[in-house]
Amino acid sequence: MRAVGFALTLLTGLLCGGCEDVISVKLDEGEPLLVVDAFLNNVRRVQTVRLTQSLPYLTTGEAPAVTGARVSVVDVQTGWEYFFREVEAGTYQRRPQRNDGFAEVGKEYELRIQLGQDQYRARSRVNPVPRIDTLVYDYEEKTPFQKAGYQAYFIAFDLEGQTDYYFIRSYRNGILRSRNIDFQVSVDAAYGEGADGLQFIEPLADFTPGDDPYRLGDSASVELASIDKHTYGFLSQLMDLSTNAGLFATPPANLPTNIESLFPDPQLKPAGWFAVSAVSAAGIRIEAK
Amino acid sequence: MKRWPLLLLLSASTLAGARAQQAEGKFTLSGYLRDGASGEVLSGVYVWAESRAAGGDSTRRAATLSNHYGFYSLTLPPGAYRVRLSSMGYLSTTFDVKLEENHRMDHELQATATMLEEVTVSDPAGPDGVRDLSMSTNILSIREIKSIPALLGEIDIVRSIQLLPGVSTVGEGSGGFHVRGGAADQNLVLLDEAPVYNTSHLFGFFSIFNPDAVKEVTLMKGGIPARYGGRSASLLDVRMSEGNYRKLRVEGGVGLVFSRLAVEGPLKRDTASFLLAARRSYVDLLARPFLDSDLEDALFNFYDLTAKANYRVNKRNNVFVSGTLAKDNFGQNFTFNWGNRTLTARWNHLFSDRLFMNLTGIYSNYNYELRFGNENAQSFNWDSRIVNFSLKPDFTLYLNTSNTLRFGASATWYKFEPGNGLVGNWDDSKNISLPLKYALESGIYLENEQRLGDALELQYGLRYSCFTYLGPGKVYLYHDTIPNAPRRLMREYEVGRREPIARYDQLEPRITLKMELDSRNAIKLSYNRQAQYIHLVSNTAATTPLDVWTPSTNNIQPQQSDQYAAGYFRNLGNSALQASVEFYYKDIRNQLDYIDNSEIILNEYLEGELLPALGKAYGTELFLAKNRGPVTGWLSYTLSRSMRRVEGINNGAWFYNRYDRTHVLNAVLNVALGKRWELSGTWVYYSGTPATFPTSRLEIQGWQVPHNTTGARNNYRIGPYHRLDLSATLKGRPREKWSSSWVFSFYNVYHRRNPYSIFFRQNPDNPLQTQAVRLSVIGSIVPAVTYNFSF
Repeated sequence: MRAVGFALTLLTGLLCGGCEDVISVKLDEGEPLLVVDAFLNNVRRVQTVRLTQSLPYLTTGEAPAVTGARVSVVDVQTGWEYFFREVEAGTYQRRPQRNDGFAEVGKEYELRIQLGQDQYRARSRVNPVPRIDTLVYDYEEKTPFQKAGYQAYFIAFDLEGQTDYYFIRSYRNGILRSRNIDFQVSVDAAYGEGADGLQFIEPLADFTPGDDPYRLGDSASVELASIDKHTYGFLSQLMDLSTNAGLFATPPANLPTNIESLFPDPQLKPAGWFAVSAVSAAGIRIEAK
Repeated sequence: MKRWPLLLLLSASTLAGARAQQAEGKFTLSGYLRDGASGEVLSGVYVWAESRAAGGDSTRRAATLSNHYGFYSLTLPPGAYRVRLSSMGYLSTTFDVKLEENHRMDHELQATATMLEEVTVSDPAGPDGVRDLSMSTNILSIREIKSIPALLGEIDIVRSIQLLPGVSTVGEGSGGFHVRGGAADQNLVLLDEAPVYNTSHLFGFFSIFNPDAVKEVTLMKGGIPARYGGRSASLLDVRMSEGNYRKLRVEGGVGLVFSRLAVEGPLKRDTASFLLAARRSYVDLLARPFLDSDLEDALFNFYDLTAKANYRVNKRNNVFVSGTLAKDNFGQNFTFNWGNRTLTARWNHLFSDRLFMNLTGIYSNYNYELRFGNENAQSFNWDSRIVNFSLKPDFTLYLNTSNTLRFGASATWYKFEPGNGLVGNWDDSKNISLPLKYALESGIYLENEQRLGDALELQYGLRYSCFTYLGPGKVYLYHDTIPNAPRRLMREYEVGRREPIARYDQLEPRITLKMELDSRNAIKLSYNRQAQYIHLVSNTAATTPLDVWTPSTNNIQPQQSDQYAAGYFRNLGNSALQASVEFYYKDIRNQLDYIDNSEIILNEYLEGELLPALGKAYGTELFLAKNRGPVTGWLSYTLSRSMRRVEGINNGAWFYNRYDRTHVLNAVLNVALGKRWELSGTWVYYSGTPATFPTSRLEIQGWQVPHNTTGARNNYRIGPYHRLDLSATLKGRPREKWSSSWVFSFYNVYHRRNPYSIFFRQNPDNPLQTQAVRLSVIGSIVPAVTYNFSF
């Protein structure tokens, strides 16, 4: 449960703040992996798949691009193939066409990558997403954990019936808020099953960036993306990795991957994730009331 | 529940009692031993009888120890005997007895004025490593514990036992402790016989045992007698004081963390007494005037309350009731609290002067609670608890000078509430609770302590334990284990009240053998099998208040350990120095482990994410202690290994446990300077604990994700830990009634940033840069001053 983890991190932070030192360690180097970064959605903007190679952990700089691959996403039902063009080294993009039917709710898509002799596959189903009814914001005074400023919340209701999973990200003036791993995932309207059909609970609905609230004149926006259970698992583990330090750290574990190699022993073993979401987005400008 | 074991025991006890009455041609010397000043009973007093046959050709000797309730019994042929009573910290007493009939002899011992008083060395002293049958056992009196320099000046039981050989921790401020390579949940922690499920205040920086209420602490790491059961590694037995039977006394202290106050005294002189001890942290009270208005409602405190009452009904019956309430409260916009409650009621009964019974009834409860939000808007409430009730009759039959027989039974009913949750949404709310679990654990045992001649002593016993996982509850059936992936659910169904879901039983043989080579050298051997039916679900480095206990179920097998130990014990220099070396080897089966990224809270299908682990641990412990004279202390060194193997983790190969430390050295020294000053110091050195480090980074959505391509677990070691603590105690000038002392303490004197862990992250200022970060829990010297008083 994230909130608990947060409370624990916070309290231990209070207890032993300032006892962190950056140190140098010598790490083993692992074999290079093919890292697939493919989070796609139904928003009418450029969709990107990035292919890179993994780096030894403590090296600085961008990951080396994997170029010359053939990348496409196939509608499993109709067999229709959407091609992604390499616009710069390792960046494969597709500009959506009007009514091209990409990322339709209920459909399953398959990512196909051909790299030299090797072929990779991954599948993802697009789940429905509720609409965001409205956004509200309040000026809040400084607290020990938060600067003074505007806290923004969205009001939306989880879809009733099945268990839904969501990925929530926020923007300030059109820029994704996360430099570090900073987003939220939810199960229905809360953190665990059982909150079916409810309004998103406050810690989730509050999309104020990290510890730096919105200021007057900022444009605040939020994206609520539907994900499947496996993507939820992937993202919540990613989130854990970023807070997994301190007294109550769990054994570090590798993130799972849904990318499979069609043939055994490919030159580069696959890592990374492929997900296709339906997105509800909303934005508001922070103004004095 | 099957009642036959209990009935069997009761009838056996009646028979044995009858038999005991008839022992022919022999008489029994028995009674209670008490402290001369307070009237409290004294356990562990060495009672030594030697025949004084006029011009006798052979002298007859017999010895025993008083039990936890101060009772002793020796059955001897008629004759004249010289009896000696001796115990650490008390003046030895000798008296002559003419045994011509059964003789009840209660006796009071006078405490030595101070620890440093040299006892006449020709006297047989109290029990020592050579004379005592038990091995792998350490007893710390509260006097010893109070002389150890403490973090923030707060004397702490759990931190003190971490200075003993064979005990390790994952690091500073962690609540659990690890004994001989066992996990934190493999220690049975008893407070006046009630199990304590979480000993932590403030996430583990302090323990819930109020030193003002504690009399003595025993840690058994091996050679555990059959009368104890339930955990697979160790027993930490914390015994509370009874309270003074003679006069009203008040004891208290003001420290940086806690303020303490304890009151004890007679309810009826020499017949009934009580003890009431309370502690509360008061950081929040001190800080309040300095806080901003928005922090005024912040909650930050912890406290505990301990109470005990005793009543000596008559010569054959004593009754005790004791209880503890410990609680931690944190919160601001949220509430987070946890706490323990225990209640123990005991009845001591003497069926005869050779058959002693203690009947114990126990209630124990641990719970935590989390609350967010507002009742009338959106809220999230979550709580969890474990409750148990136990009944435990224990009998000791002092059969003759060579045999002491113990037998008994226990039955424990458990209720597990892994999580009761409510998500509130204005006028709507949803229950997200996990199903409750019930279980019944029972055991019977028989053990004998037998003396074979002067040199050989044996303790052997057998425990039969049995565990039933009971309805009402929900049963989950899973497909086979796939290494390191959640098992697929096959079926789930409800079962009704009292319906058994899974049942386990085990025979647990225990044996300890002592061979005295001479009065100064002894060799001891032991073998133990121990079963454990309840498990702590925790995949964090240190135990957290949110960890829940789970019973063994149809998916979780009980844990089991086999331990073999051998030791050599030696007394040096008039027994002022006691030395020992022990070796042990331990096999552990069915420890809990978790698939990678397992979600252990709020997960109904957790059982499908658990993996059984094989464990092994081995090591050597060296211990040298000096208990008398102006300089006292001990030196302990442990060389050990603790490993586990789990299908699907570390590629199925053995790997080191998170709490594995190769070398552990502890030095504790206490020096009395004149009449008023006492100086003490400890120095500890621990090898670094293992850690898992990444090999690679993956770039996903702009995040740099650490990744280990080899799948290795605990493939590195963080640096060693060492620390020096010092303290000085200044006693106030002795006055009529009032006595006081100032304790000045310095923790981590040379200001070392000891590593707790090393973790990896993106540089917050440059997302393309990754870094290794060393985390120290306490990174600087911590001075403290405490004022203690009593009257």
